[in-house]
Amino acid sequence: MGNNKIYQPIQILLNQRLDYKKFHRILSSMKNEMDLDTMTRIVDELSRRIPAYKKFIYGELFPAEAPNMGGLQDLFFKPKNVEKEIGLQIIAIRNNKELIKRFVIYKREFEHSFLIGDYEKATYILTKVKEVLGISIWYYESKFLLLEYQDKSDEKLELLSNINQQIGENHPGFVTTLLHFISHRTERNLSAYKYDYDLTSYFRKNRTDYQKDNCDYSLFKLNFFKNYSIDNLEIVFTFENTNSLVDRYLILIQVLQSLSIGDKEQNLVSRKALYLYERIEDDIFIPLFATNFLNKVPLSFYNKNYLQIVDCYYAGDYLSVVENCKEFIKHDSSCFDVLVFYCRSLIALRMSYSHLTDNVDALINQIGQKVYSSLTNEQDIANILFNLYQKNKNINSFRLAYGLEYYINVEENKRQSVKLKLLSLCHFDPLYAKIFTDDKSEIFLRKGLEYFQNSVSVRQHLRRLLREVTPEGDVSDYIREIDNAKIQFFNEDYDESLKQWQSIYNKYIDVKPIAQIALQYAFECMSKKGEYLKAIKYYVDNYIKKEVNVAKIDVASFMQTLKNIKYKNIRRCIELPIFVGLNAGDDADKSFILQSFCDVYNKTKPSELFEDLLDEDEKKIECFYSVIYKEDTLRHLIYINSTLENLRESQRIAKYLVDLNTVNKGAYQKQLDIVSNELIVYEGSQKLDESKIFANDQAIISYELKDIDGLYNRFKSILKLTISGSVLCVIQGNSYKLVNFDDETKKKDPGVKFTDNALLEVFYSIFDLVRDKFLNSKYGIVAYLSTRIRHGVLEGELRPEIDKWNLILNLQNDKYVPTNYWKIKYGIDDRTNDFINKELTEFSRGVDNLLYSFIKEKLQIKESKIHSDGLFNYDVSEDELMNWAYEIGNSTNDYQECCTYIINRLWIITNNNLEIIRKYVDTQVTDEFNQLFNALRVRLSKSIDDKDFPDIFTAINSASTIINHRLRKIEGWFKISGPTLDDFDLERLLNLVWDNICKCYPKVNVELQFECVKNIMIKGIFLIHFTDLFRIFLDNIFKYAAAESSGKKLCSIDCKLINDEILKCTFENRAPKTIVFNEEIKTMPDDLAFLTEGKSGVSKANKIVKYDLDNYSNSINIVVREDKFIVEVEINISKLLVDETNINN
Amino acid sequence: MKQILIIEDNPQKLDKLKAFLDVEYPEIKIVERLSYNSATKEIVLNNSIYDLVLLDMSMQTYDVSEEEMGGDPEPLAGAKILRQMYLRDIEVKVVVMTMYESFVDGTRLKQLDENLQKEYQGIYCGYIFFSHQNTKWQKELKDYINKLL
Repeated sequence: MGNNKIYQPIQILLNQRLDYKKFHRILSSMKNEMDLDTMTRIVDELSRRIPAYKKFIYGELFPAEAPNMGGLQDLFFKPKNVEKEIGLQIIAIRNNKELIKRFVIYKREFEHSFLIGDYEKATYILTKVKEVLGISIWYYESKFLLLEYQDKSDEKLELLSNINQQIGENHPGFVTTLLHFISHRTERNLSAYKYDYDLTSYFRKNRTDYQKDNCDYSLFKLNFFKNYSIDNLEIVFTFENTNSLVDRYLILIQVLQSLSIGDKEQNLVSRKALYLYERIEDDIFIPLFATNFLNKVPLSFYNKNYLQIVDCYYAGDYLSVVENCKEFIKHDSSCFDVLVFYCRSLIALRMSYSHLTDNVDALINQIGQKVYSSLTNEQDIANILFNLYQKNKNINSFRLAYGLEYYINVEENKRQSVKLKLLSLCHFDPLYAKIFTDDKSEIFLRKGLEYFQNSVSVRQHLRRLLREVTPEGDVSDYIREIDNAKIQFFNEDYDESLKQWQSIYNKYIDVKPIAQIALQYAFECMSKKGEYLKAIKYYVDNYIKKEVNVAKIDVASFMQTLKNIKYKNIRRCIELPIFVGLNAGDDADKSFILQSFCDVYNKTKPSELFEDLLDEDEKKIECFYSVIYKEDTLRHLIYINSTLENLRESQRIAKYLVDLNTVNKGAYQKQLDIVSNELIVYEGSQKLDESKIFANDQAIISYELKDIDGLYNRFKSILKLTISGSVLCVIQGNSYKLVNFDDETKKKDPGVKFTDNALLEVFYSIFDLVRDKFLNSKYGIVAYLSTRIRHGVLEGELRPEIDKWNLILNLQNDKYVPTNYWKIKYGIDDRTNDFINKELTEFSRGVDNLLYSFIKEKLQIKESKIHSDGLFNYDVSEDELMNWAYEIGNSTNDYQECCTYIINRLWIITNNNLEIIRKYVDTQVTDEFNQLFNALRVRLSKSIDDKDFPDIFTAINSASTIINHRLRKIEGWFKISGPTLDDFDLERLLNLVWDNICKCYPKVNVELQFECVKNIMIKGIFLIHFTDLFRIFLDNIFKYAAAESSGKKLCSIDCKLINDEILKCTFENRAPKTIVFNEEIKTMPDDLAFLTEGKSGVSKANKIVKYDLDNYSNSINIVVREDKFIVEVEINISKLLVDETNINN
Repeated sequence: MKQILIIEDNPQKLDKLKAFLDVEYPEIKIVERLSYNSATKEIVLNNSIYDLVLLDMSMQTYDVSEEEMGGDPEPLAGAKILRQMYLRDIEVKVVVMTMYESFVDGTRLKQLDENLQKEYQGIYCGYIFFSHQNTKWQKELKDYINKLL
């Protein structure tokens, strides 16, 4: 196109003068219509002729202060083509290439200084960045990170607040929203999984297609590793163009990476990456263009020092690896694999972790240490990986993060594209050959050999590629052995491969990464051969030996195979239920296998197998029962037919596990205690309870609110600042900016709202989360409300009752179908029949509307938009929330305590709501029903004489009466239900605990003499404490009491009331020979270590009587008199009694 | 004599179903089970005597009694029962009868129907939306029974 062809478009743009909106509308339209080359020339020419247009075209490239960020105006046009958008970004970068080149150097230096813990230098670099390039999202992110790691999170929050105040609500762009999330992402103790979840739900909430672009951009920008595969990448630039050129440059790299990972526009990506590399010299582009332009890869990429590390590792020269890595890290900390080579070499040398750099607290050391632990530890792996995940979220924008992200996913046995990691490689690495899907792999490796002729690693990768057997001596033994075994595997010689894998496993059983890969392939060989049972046994055997070694086995695919064949032709041996219990997602599968395993022994329940399994390996028996116990499989067994049976079966299994006396005994004992308590509470509670409102708050705290400690810590930090008088300005609620494309007419809603009450904001986040789980999780109120009341149950309680009296009509195609009941039964004429049906239609509509309104509008959680009339109202005023915030901030030490506090408050609110609902049923619903019946009666009586046709009026009266009864019943549903801690009778509780303990020791013969004061009603909140207390002493009798010559153990319990307030319980039995006291009577001191040696639990009992029962004068005395062992417990029960109790009445 | 097993924990719905079947199909014997647990047991142990199962989707774990509160609600108990049947090669035809448009895990009824069609071909025949307000379910049920029995 000649100059004359760009003349006209330029003239059109010039005609718009300095009208930004018009100018942009036309520019955007041209951009979508014209080819990139023409467009480039137009914007170049325009910027040259009239410099003022530069800002119009490119926006603020290097903003000096926060208010300059965010773009010029709130106007967005939708782009159509990713190539053109990339092209236009490149023009802006090209025109400022020297500055961007400096940025690349600054960024690299900042990341390195930060990682090695040189925060002073990192701070200096940021100062230089600000001077030279102005500010950017990247700048603030780096600043946040630095402050956080310098233990200045208060300053970080103040900086965020300061930016918000400067920018204000009405500013265009997305700066405040982005920084809000980035400030979270840079928290050291970030709730990382919650961050992922929150981000998605925040932007996807109530999302329409229209808001999709907004959401895609935000997720791409703020959580790249989780959201890099969005399909409309061009949209990203529209949003990012409001930020600085630095930010645009960084997102351009991510867009190119995203396209490359998705195998889209590979040629385009390579061309653009090469173009950019030639101008900016940022080596991040090399992996992006090396696929197509290998010859253009610069010499500097073939880094001798890096490849030396790889080569030494392959050759098994681990000492050199360790030394070289330390040296390498001094200058370059961006290659994650250096950490892996370092840690693996330490492991090969059987050395413990030593720090990579002098600053032991440096993040690179922390990451290295965690990587080492993840490779060596046998337990707590999930926590270690979570910790790495948290750290990686902090350094999400670092080059190191790509490799670390991939590493975490591999260690967690999750599928992840290796390309993401390969695209971040800093130097030539033979591993990069994996990026090619064709014979270019070989070309790439041979190219490497041109530079590094003697490279062990490159040669080995070539062998792998060509499937050549590795001879001895060239590489380390384990690499050779693994590579050779893989060749057999890929050649489908599974027998030979299996032999080799087993040999590798036996040789390297203590080297976790090698053992894991050996087991993974050995298992796969068996699976490929169709030897499913053998594979299962192999898995279970090794799981028991060393659980961590089976972590990389692809059990998901194998489980699918088993499911597909419905577990047919797989012998029901003990390994099968263990394997399925550990790996099947579906409870039905687990119970099916367990049941069929029991069938083999002609037994119905797992506890009946205790005798049958004696021949099995004890560790397998333990594993079998612990898996069943943990996995909640029992609930699905067909021969366990009630909650009580379930609890009893659980108790039997827990007791059995305790008696196995293994290293896990302590954990099993805890489970046994928990299930025993549950059993006692369940046995002691009222079953025929009409209450239907319930939420399993313990499960909510345990399963749904696990990952909020980061949020809790933020709350504590803000509380501290608030108390010290700081006023922080933060984003309010879930507000964020929404973009209206191509729309310059409407008044813009800034979307973002600020508040200066940061404490309320952060506390509300916690409260909102806990409330959401309390209401809407699978353990929450809504699940129960839905099943027990809303879906048909309530309607079924009322409508059929009216139907029985033939007063309500059925709906068909939205019309009420007339009834002929009255006509047939009483022979009335057609006219009267029509009249009756007309009135019944009116009545039926009234009843259905009433039920609809009650169920669909009133029995809902109140939400302003969809259920504004909901009677379950969990709105809490800001004042009240602030009170809670201070109270919780001052009285809780961790997030669990905080959640418990909030849930307790939510129960109080629930109780209030239920009272309102009961009143609503009692008044409103009842009245409306009465009015409907009355209206029907009145209308009918206008044409029908009560004396001529009394039956229909009798029916109305009867139906009205029964509905009133039913409404009273329904009212009773709206109470909190479940085996709650009802007030209890002391004697009954002692009996229950006694019965329960007897069941735990079926072979111990104990004879009890029991006397107990009558009618002592203790408040329900103390039930668990009394249960625990009694269980401790009764358990000790069964365990330790000496038996008579007959084998029988004699004991007595005597509970008396002294002075109307002291409960004295005396437990007496024959003293075990092992207890020797110097004095005849010994009073229990506070420190009961001498008794805890015998694991008697007396220390716990002492804590219960003094602290849990809230009276320090309560006591436990242990007395040994002659051969009697006597425990005397004295408890002041005056404050524990139910108010109405009339003692000894 | 043909037999239908009704798995349903809501007494009013159960009464309506039975009343309808009594009138329309007096020759068919009806057996009822009221919870996930008792229904699974019946299906596993006595499936051969049934010609059709009318299956509710959400129900309590255990039969309610003086000693039993019913246990936790099992929102997709019906799907679990179908899975137990599939694993055991139990081939009695099943029609789901539900009052839910969507389930606790967020699955819509249509989606659930598609999933069940895919997973339990040959057993699962379809679903009927039950309502106390209308009798549309009666026609649909009649169609299924006439087709399947």
